[in-house]
Amino acid sequence: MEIELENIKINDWEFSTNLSSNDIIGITGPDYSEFLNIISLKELPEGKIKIDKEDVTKENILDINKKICIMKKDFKKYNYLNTIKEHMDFIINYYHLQIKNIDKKERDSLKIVGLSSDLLDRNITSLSKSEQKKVEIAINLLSNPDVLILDEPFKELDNKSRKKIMMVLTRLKEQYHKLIIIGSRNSNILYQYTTKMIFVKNKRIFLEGTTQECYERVDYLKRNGYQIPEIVLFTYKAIKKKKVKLDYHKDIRDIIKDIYKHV
Amino acid sequence: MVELLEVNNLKYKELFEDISFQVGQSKFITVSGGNNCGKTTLIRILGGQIPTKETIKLFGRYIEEYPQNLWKEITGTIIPQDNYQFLFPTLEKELYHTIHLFKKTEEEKKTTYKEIIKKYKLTKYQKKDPNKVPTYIQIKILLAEKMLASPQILFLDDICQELDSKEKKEFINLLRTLQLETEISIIMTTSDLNITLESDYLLIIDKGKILLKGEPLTVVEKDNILNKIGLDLPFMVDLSVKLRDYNVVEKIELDIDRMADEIWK
Repeated sequence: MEIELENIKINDWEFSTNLSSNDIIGITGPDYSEFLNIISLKELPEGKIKIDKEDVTKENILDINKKICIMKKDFKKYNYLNTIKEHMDFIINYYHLQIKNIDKKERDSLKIVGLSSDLLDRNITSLSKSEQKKVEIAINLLSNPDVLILDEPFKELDNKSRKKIMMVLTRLKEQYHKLIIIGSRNSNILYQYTTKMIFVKNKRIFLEGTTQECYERVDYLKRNGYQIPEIVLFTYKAIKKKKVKLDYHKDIRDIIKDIYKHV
Repeated sequence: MVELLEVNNLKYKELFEDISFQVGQSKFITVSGGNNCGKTTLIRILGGQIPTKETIKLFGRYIEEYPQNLWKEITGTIIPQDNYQFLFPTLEKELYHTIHLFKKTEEEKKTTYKEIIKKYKLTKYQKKDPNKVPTYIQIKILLAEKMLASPQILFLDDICQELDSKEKKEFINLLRTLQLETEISIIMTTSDLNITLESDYLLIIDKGKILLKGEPLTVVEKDNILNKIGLDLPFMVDLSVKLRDYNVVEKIELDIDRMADEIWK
């Protein structure tokens, strides 16, 4: 799954980039939410867009729209709907999703995110936070999207729940080849879970590259108001001020082993 | 001596089995725990939204003995997930509306307004629609409005959740300054242990009981227990604790530069 965006212009934004499901992509920066909206292609911008080599045009944009799904920060719970099944039925009707066997589809969607289909008749509010998040993803999978854009998916989640959700997202990428894009303001989380980063600022792409390379440019990012993951900042200071040969790691245990070697 | 706030053997549905603690005057207390440990419910109970009987005392008097309005006046509750709607088209009008309720003369109103704008760093947003400004600004408006009522104690539910780490630091400093100046007490829940380091006392709740309590630094170093219930240790605490296990450092060090000095002398 690949989206090529060339000379995109919309609402004063201007950029070109490639998004591929080989990576889990992180987006950050002061106006990252706007960027997420643009790449969700709800509105067709100026420029050249290709999805898996196929041109996106006015003619096929409606079909493309169904393939890209954006999960906003706050899950819209409909107060007059109670159970997960009611929510799913509502979404299927509302978006006129063409599904042959609705029961099966609903059960399968829950299965993909690792939930039992017994939950279909449960009230959403009776679930734990991580289960709610999984249900939210399952509901979004009903339309069979190729692209999942998530705005702060880990907000409200403790580290246990975060790991569970990340396992679901990794599975969607590895097994189902879905393109996963995570927007967040939390640099620690982006550093931990993404492999490619796009930093946006003033309606442009400011920096992009592998997560590792980008975050190692500590001074440059800091000068421009971005936050540095704490583990990177510590390593950076050790290298620069103490001239120690430390490597950048994502896991604190690896850095401890490294320090132990060098004291 | 009568404590400011006493919670005695709080039970609630399956959530709380036995929660008891006391809060003195001019104290900043943080409460943390994994997802679904009851943080929001605790704030709702303290704020009087969920009734209790002979469990919670403020100034030695049970919560249910206070007239509803008086309870609201002496306490202030903010629960961001309740999605507050501001009623006025600009932040200036919104704040003045609340100022009118508590200040009498025009002179006083003006000075109060100016003080708030300066202290809460809201200058840029005065003419903006409060419903459309960033979450961080909305939280500050909510706090400023609560503070105008001169409460004795504030109950805040995970109010920093939407903020980035820089905003969190700034906000906690603001909160601490307000708290020390007015000598009120604050009970704040949070899922981020970094924030708790700035407080006087930390409670960790799990499975309906208080699992750990004490000065924040002595609580957050219990890495095994905290990880088990799903909480991340603040990075520098995590680093210190692990390095201490290897005998590289002796104590918890929160400052990156001093930590580097400590390791590579």
